[in-house]
Amino acid sequence: MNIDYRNIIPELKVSVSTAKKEIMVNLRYPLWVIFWAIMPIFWLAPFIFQGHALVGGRFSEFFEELAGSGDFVTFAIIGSSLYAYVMSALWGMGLSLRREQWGGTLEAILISPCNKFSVLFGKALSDSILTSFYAIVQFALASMFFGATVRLENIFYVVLVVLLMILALYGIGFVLSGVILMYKEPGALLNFVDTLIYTICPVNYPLKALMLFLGGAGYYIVMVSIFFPLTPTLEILRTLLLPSFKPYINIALAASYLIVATIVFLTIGMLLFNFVEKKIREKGGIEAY
Amino acid sequence: MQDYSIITKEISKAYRKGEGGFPFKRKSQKTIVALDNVNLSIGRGELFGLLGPNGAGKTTLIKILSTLIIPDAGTALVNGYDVLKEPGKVRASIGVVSSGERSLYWKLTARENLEYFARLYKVPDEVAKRRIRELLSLIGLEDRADDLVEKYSSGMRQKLSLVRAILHDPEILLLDEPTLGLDPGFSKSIRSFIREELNKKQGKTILLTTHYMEEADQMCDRVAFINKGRIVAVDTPERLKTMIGKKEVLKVVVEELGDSVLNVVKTLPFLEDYRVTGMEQSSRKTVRMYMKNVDAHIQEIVESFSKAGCRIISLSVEKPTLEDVFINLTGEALGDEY
Amino acid sequence: MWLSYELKVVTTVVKKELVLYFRYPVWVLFDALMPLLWVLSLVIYGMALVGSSYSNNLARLTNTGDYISFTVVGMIVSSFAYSTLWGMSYALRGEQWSGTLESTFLTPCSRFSILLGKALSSMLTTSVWVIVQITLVTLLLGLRINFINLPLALLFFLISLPSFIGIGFSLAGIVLDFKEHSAFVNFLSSLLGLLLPISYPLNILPPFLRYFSYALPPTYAIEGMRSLLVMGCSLSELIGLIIPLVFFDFFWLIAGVTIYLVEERKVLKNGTLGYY
Ligand SMILES: Nc1ncnc2c1ncn2[C@@H]1O[C@H](COP(=O)(O)OP(=O)(O)O)[C@@H](O)[C@H]1O
Ligand SMILES: [Mg+2]
Repeated sequence: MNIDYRNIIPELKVSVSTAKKEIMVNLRYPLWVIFWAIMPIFWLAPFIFQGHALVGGRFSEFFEELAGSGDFVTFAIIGSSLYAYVMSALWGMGLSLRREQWGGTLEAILISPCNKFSVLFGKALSDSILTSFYAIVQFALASMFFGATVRLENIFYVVLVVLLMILALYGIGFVLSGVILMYKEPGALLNFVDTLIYTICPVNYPLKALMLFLGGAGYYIVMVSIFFPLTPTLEILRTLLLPSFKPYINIALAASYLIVATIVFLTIGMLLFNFVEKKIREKGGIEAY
Repeated sequence: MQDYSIITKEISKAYRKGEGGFPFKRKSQKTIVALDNVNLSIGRGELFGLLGPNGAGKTTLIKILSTLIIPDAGTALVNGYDVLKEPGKVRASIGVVSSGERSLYWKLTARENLEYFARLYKVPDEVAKRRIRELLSLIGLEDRADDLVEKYSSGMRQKLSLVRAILHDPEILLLDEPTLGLDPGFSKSIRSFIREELNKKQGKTILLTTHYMEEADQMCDRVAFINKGRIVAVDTPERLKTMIGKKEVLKVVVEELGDSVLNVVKTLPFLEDYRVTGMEQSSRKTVRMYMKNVDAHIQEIVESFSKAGCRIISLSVEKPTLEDVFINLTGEALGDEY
Repeated sequence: MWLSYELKVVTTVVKKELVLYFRYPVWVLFDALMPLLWVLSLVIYGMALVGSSYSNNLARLTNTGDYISFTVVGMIVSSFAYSTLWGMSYALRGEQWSGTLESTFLTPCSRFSILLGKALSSMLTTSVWVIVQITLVTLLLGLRINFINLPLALLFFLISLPSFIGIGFSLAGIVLDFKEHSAFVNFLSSLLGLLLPISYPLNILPPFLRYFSYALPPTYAIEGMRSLLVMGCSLSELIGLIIPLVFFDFFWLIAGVTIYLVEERKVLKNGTLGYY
């Protein structure tokens, strides 16, 4: 793939207009937007209630031993707000391409003269804008209902790290969209990946908890987990936001890894997408399946 | 009273378009009239064709007769049972093949599909086993009986749908565009199976919809024209073709320049009607001209075309087809192909 | 005669659904793994909070401090409940997708037999995975279940089943018409995930949420079976749970059949029965 730098501005315009279109389409169904903004609270709440049932309050001594901070409520609120981005990278991009495949517009996009990655990038852009909105709403609502104690003086770094994570996640999103276009029933696969990530990343519990009772196996799971961009991001964010949080991995290392991951995943994603497109063309028609 | 298998009584149906589901209803609602006061009587043992272009309302009528859609007004008697009052008995009396090939389980084999539906149709197991074997070999699929339907071609799936529809040996068959999108070989064998085996030999009453005029012409005892939800005419194909009067049809294929063909045709005073068809990008056009006494005008027509710079590729005088009659009655063609 | 025919339809549907199920091996695999992952994440979370498999606070709130058994039984009962609740609508949706719904509805058998067949087959597959799950969890985490009460617990489940089936009928009807199935399932399951006492006892919920929980039959099924299998309980407690369940059985069976028929009629009028 060779990039012609003179084309960058027009291609960016394609991305921006795609993003605008997507956001407009979303805003036309305001009930859906509200629906998706509120839903995650329902996923978070059971964990908080479970915590209350098990320790009788919002502070756990053992949790403090593991994470440096015993406030498991704020811990989980940060985790689940960030999880919104994983959901959107998994479901949003892949499934929206799938819908276009169904609707027959995917072919039109792929054969249009603009670079298809500009279109994909536009989708990712609109998705991340919407998701940021959802994440903020969720954080606000959850803090309102359950209470959260965070330090806000590092908010600039928080935004920066989240941006990095978004880039890396959408790299994975590219990879997955490629897989989804080839795969017949993406629902089951996505559901599984979703649940797997939720289990092995420190969304509700600290990384150390995985090793706590899974022992040696837990160690390897942690090793896998830290390569998924959500994990280093959560470690950094909690260090920035939670007073007295002790990260399990080195923060500077985590930040550099995010940068590397962005580049690697985006590249793999693009290569795979090109490959899939070629495969589909060879099979005759992307609508073929 | 004559013995009728299917009688429709003033059936009307309109759809409301643009509904979102609960709770996201959208406001604007258009209604589309799919059927408008349809009255048809189909005799026992008859092969009856319903001919009309896409969107005419054919599928809607078939689905109403097969109890999958409830009409807004009117009702129908199928095998003597009212589709609204006794849907269960209607279902037991009919076999249905819908257009499109997705009416079978692709992840089951042909035999598994048929065994499943046979049970839902209350066919005793031993009878079902025998019939499945017989029907599959009759239609030439016995070698593939234990392959997943997924691996079948469209034509084979259509044949299998037909077998599924007659598993319980219904007296009445409703076939919605049974040869849609199939290649000529498959279409031909399916048509002759329907006509010779099912209709003539087994004596089943068959209502078949189509937008291919040859299909209606060659197969059907009687044909009804349907357009925009209304029945325009009902009769035997032969008598329908005489409706057009003494008119004859001159078919000319020309290589045109610009819009010249239309300009030529417009200036010919003796034409009663005409129809120009052809691919959009290609300069080759087919013109069908309706007039009395073709012989007297051929010379003038040829000269007018060559004066306008059109090259005539072929020229033939034809008998009116069902499509010509349809065009005459409705001003519309049956489909894109001619 | 009529009944034996309809029963045959039910078993035929069950058989076909099972054959189809195993023709999608990837789904089978995910179905087997997903509940394990869920249990795992709930248990790890519990570990992180209390540092062992015993919670003093839970012991104070209920009769047991063994939150692993508490939660696992809650999950198992709720997954049975879900499989009945969603089994039918999920399968109908699948048939709309594959295009076979119309051919099924063309047959003269009762729709409710078809729906029951789908519910039954989804319960059967769930049972298989639940047994696998129980075995694994017992081996890995040490599940302490009062197996003597197992027959009673199954009886308790049978008592709650009609209400689940009734709710399943109504959901099937709604889904027939409201084509956004996954959003709908997502919404309701998330709501249930919050309201049902799966990983915490009911008295942890804020009072206004608790009223909603009491309106849901699975709540009683979970509480009753967990009492029997994990905590041990008195007969009067059980009767206090059975009486509302029997009421719900009647209520939901009637409501479910009615809602389904109303929705089906609506779809037959729209002409969108087979639409995806
Ligand atoms: N479920 C439906 N909702 C809205 N409009 C429909 C529906 N089904 C068919 N229509 C419309 O009704 C008209 C008749 O359709 P149909 O009976 O399928 O015609 P045909 O089978 O002759 O092509 C068409 O305009 C079609 O778009
Ligand atoms: Mg049609």
